[in-house]
Amino acid sequence: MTGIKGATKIAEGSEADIYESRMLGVPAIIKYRRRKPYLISEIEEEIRVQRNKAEALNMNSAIIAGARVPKILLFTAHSIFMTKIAGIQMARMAQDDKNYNPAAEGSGKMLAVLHAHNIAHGDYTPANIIVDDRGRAWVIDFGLSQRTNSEEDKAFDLLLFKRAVSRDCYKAFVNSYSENYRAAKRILKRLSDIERRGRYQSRTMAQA
Amino acid sequence: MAVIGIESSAHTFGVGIVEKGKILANEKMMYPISDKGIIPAKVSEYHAKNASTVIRRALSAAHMGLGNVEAVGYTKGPGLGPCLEIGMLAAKTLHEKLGIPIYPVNHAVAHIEITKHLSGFADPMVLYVSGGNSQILSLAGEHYHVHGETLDIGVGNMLDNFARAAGMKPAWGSTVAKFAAGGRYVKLPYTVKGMDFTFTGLLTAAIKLLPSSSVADVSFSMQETAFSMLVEATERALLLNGKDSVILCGGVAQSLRLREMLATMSASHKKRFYVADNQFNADNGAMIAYVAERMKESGCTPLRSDLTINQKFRIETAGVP
Repeated sequence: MTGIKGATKIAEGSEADIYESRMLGVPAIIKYRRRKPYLISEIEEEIRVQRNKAEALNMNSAIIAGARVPKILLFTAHSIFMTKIAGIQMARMAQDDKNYNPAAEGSGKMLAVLHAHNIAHGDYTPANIIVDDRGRAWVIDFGLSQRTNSEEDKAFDLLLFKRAVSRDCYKAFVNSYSENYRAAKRILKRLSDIERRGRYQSRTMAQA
Repeated sequence: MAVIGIESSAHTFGVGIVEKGKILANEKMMYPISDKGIIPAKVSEYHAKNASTVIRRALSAAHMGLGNVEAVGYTKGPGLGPCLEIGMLAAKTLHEKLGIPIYPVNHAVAHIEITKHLSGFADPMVLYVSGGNSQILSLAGEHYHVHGETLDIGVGNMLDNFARAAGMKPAWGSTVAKFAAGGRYVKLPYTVKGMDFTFTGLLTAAIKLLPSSSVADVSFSMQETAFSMLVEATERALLLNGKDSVILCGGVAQSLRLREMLATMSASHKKRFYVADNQFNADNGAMIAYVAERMKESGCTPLRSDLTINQKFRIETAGVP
């Protein structure tokens, strides 16, 4: 597929091409999972179909859990059509933006909601948080998400976010996460275990 | 005037000679690996015994004597302590005997920098894969930034462990590749978290399959799965960071299948791809000499307290000249 009729390509992710269009009268985003020509066909098909399916299922589960997530309009083997969230990526926001701190707290709360319902996002970074004009955090890109009750998987969501933001931002994020998720303490304990594993130690030192 | 570099982080004792970025010699002796793997104390004994031989060979390959050497570099880490010690000792001996400056070099920086130098690329995304390391990196100012890496063992270590469990003979990585040639795909766990990946789950699952599946099928599937994870994570890092090129380096960069996959991935995004000749992917002294010469040119003056070894020398903490 080289394009989608009536849709404009707005981004090329590593996984998928992102198109913008209108559907059912509302602005829509289409995520089309590209072929990966370097993979053998079995792995390629597994990744494209399974991730697409898991993504759609987990987005729906997240919505039912009460998280702010785009709604699915249409779903095919290799693509998901979803509502477009108006706002900007948290990763592109200035730290002194009035909505930045609410976004940090909001992304902590959203992750708490996901984890309380046993959804690990798998790529929880500020690039996958959209902040609307009221400072509310929306979670996008469930491409690497999974249903899991593993503390390790949940702790990795925290680790990825922690690595991508400033210390203050992480503090606001993790406070909000802890307030909204009863098992937060256990996950944070696991996170510090992970960080104590050899290969993270000097990385933490290098950042300090 | 030339710079000599000494590498001894694992089972290879390597000595390279570089002059103005040109590689004049790259000699090595490798401890013969048995099915017991690497025993650090035995390897360091081997290195100590052969150090002067390899240095002499390098000098004669470069058609020069010690009088032509103006600086010496050695691998500070990461690597096996007893092995690193011998390289450092040899370098310190030259440093004191000849009165020339000495430079401690990070092993990973050296693999990457020599490959970058040979590629001619200014700012590539790097996949560095070896026995102990598997990392995706690019330069951020004066340090390498790790975008993603293995959360447990290096991919080479996984291949070695599997090969031993399957009763293969060394050298394991290439032996797995030979077995994989006729294999068919069986499903194995595929674990990428963001741009990080893990290999122990894959290794355990592959070993569990051995009694019920053919060695060819498991070798093929494990190799495909592991390399797919690496290339996919590299693809993500490449596109997220908008680099225009990709390089592959480290011991596992000798794998033809991994090269092919990374080349195909790069071409599919119209990015340039480079992998160096195998003598630079395997551990070698030339890469150490190359970085030492750059350190010298940039006016770097290591403190006496820097002239140590560091078995867990993380690349983020090493400067890039």
